[in-house]
Amino acid sequence: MGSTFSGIEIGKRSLNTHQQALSTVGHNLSNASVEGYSRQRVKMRAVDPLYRPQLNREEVPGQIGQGVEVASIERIRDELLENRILAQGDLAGYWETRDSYILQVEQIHQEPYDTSVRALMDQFWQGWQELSVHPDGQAERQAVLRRGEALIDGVNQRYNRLKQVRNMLDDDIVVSVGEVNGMLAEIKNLNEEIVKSEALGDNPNDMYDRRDLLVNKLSEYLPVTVDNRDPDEFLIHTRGLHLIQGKQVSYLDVDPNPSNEGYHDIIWDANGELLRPASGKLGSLVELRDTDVRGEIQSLDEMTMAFADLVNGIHRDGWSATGSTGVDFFREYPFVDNLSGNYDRSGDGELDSTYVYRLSGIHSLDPASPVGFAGTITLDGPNGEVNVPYTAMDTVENILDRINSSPAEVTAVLDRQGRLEIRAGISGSTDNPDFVIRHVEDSGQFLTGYAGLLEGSGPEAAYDWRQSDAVLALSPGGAAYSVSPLSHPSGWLRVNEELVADPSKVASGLSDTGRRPPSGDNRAASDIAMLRHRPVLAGRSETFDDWFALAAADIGLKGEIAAQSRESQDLVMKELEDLRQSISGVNLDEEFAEMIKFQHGYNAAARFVTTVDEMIDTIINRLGA
Amino acid sequence: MQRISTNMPMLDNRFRMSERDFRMDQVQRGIASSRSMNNLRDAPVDAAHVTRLDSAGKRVERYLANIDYVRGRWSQAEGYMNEAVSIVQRLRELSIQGATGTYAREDLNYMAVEADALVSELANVVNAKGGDGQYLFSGDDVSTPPFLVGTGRVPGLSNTSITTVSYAGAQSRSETEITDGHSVETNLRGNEVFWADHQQVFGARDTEGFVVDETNRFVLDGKQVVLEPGDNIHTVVRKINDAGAAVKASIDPVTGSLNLETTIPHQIWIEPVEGTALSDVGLLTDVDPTGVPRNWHPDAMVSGGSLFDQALALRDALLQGDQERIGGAVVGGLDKGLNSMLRNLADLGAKTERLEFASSRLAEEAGSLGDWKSKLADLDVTQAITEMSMLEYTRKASYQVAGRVLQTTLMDFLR
Repeated sequence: MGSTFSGIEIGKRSLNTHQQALSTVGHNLSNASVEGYSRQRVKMRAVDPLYRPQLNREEVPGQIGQGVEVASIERIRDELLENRILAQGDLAGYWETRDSYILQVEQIHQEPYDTSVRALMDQFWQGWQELSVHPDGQAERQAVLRRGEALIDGVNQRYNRLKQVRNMLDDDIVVSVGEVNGMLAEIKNLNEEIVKSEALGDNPNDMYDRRDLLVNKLSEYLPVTVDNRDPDEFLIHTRGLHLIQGKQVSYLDVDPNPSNEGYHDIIWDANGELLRPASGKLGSLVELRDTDVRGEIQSLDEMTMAFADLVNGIHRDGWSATGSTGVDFFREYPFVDNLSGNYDRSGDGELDSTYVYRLSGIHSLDPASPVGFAGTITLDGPNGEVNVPYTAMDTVENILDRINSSPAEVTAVLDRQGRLEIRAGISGSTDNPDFVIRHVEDSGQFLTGYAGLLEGSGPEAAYDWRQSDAVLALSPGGAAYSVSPLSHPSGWLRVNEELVADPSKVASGLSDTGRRPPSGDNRAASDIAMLRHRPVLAGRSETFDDWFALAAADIGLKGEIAAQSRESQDLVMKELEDLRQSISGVNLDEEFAEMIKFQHGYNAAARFVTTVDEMIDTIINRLGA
Repeated sequence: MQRISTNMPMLDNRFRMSERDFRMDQVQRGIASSRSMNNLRDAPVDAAHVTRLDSAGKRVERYLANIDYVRGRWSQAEGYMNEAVSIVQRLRELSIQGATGTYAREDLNYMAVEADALVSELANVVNAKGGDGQYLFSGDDVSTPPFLVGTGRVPGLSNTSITTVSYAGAQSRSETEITDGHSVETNLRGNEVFWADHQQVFGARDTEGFVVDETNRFVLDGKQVVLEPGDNIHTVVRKINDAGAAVKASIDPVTGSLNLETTIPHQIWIEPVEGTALSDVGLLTDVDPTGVPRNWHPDAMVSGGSLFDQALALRDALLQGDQERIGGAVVGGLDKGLNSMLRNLADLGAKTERLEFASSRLAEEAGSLGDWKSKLADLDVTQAITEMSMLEYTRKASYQVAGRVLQTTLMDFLR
């Protein structure tokens, strides 16, 4: 037999429960537009009935129900889906970042329309053509100079804009690492709160939501995986290393790297070890800064260096109308100022390296003639030594092709007089400087007696940059070299001031006799103009036209891929977000229906309490009256 | 059935709208700039083609300008050469007339006066300037007159007359590019165009036993010749013959001297660079061997001269009344000169024709390059406008639908 007042208790529980349910509906409605909010449901459950089936139970049929109570308030979400969203987050961050930066780089190219560096170079060649038609003209000389300046301005500007993008990327890395650290700190705080709350048996849904949202945001910066199998310790990993373990946080930090022009490496704050995120916004930023934009600058440097060197090579041989000769058209500032290219690389005050950009042999070679002896040329590439073997039947051209197609970071060409010329290229690794010949060695006689470049064969007589005065290994009596630029050629190239001061010194003619050629000799001008379409660059692009076409296609394709990937990644994210919304999002109609349901439940409970009240009233006030 | 949360249609709409806005912006920018690519990524491979086509187009334009310039110069030169031909023809008529033997000494003197006037005119013709003030026939030395004219008193003629005419121009090494990698020699040189006869040079010394004792370099008609220590005279002869110049060297069977002879009438041009071998064999002077073309050894015999030598010979023979010479050497010399000039005219005509061909081919190429470039880089306006209207249409439709769907909730029906 139940208690007289038990009905009121049951009614009260029902009222409380429905009120709780109604306020949850209200909570859902209010948070419908909150980012990362998962709708909550009140799980109701019948209160344990009185009298368990034991011996002292009341001898009545059935159990006496005790009404309803709130079992828990749960978030409606799909844990697996959330993990999928996390797994896609870093890709979305990667492509979004890449897309926007590559677009900036594309715009720097200004192709294929008239304002590009290519158009300026076309103008420059045009100028030499005009000078070749009027070799004694002063106006044409002015035009060549002005167009040379405009071209160099264009190259400098392109370099500066690329450099700016690189700086922006670096700033972005520093700021992003700060943001990641901020998020990590916040997650850590939430973890502490959540553990406390859970210890009290609570279900801190809103904190869970906030933590999930933060982890989602974090996943855009770094590839992360989440592990919450252990209820006490919420874990976040990146590449197998802990970012968060409950209350423990491994923060990130940035550290300027002097061998990478002072740009920042991402390191672990605790032990200073390098972190290379494979994707996510941070991964994308590092890749863009150290691969894509660096590559753009290097490629521009390489083209500019080759361009200036080729034009200078002819211009130095050329004679002007006033009889001056041996003048460079372009000047590179700053160059290594030691005449032998000796340079203090370690910065300890002693000359410890030789920075030389170009080596040329003494003898004129015929590209089609076989060399007649075998040997192995040893050069330096991105991954150490590169061996280029040759046999007696190889022609000079064969050997040069083999050197140029090997991974060695040099180019070998014959100059206009047929002399062998070895030019340094850009280096793949940031540990090696650009435009420095690092190692030249020949076990046979090709580079020594035949080309007249090195004095002797074998490793003892090799040219190696890791010592001062390495140029002493060159063949005495004429093997020439020129020292390396110390900074980016594309940023520091200028038209020679001597020419700007006196434009009549611009060369137009060549001399066969070593005496001043007649004023109508146009061979220097015409040779320079012909550089435009001659295969003068070695490697992937042979002519300047090739270089510009390839540069445009290269960055364009990168942009195309970035845009497409970003679009498809956006779609993937949208699909997943839709799925999440479908499961966890608030539907107002649904909430209103629930609201009405709970309202009616509440009304029903109230009516029940009234009824019980009337019943008690009957017993107390009417009975026996 | 998928559950739809209230925000879903809104988010979906927003996503689609921003996507469409982006595409509309692309199309709109394309229409505004009339370019088919706003950024390289829109068509990277096409963009690469366009950069090439653009540069190639500019090159072709330049080549056309080069051709126009050279053609202009040559057609002027051709005019003067034609005039020279008429003058020489008149001189030849005079020489035939003078050689008949039916004219008295005075008549021949009258003819000499005419011949003198013709020589003066010829001197004007060969020192002609082009439209840009450059001499047409002085090789690369375009700023100095090609022929140095010496005047003096000639017995029998009243005024000062031309006594010597010698070439003071230069070789012609300049070339003008007319298509990628192909060039034509730009400048004409008077010592070839107005040369009458093969030039022969007989060295002054017996060369038997001569051996080169140091490296010698000299430039023969613009071709480099290098003599190495140890070369004997036969090697020297072979090296000269193999140099690629229109000059044949031989050893005189009688005197043993080193002789040079042209294979096409022109003046031999030897510029020594280093070494004295050519002076040692008695070909060049020791004093100033670099002063071409007057650097022959004083004892070397040089024969074969320019048109002027023949014209002046005619005048002088007429003055002297030497009819035999007029009918012999003079007529023959003028004939050779005329032949040589006609050959040079034909040569120039052929070269001009080559330019014409190149020019019309380039003009065609410029057109097709432009077409191709335009196809890749310029906007197809019809297509763009169609796309734009499609986008506008779908935008309108989606706004309308969104307006209807998003406005009703259950709340509207609750009291």
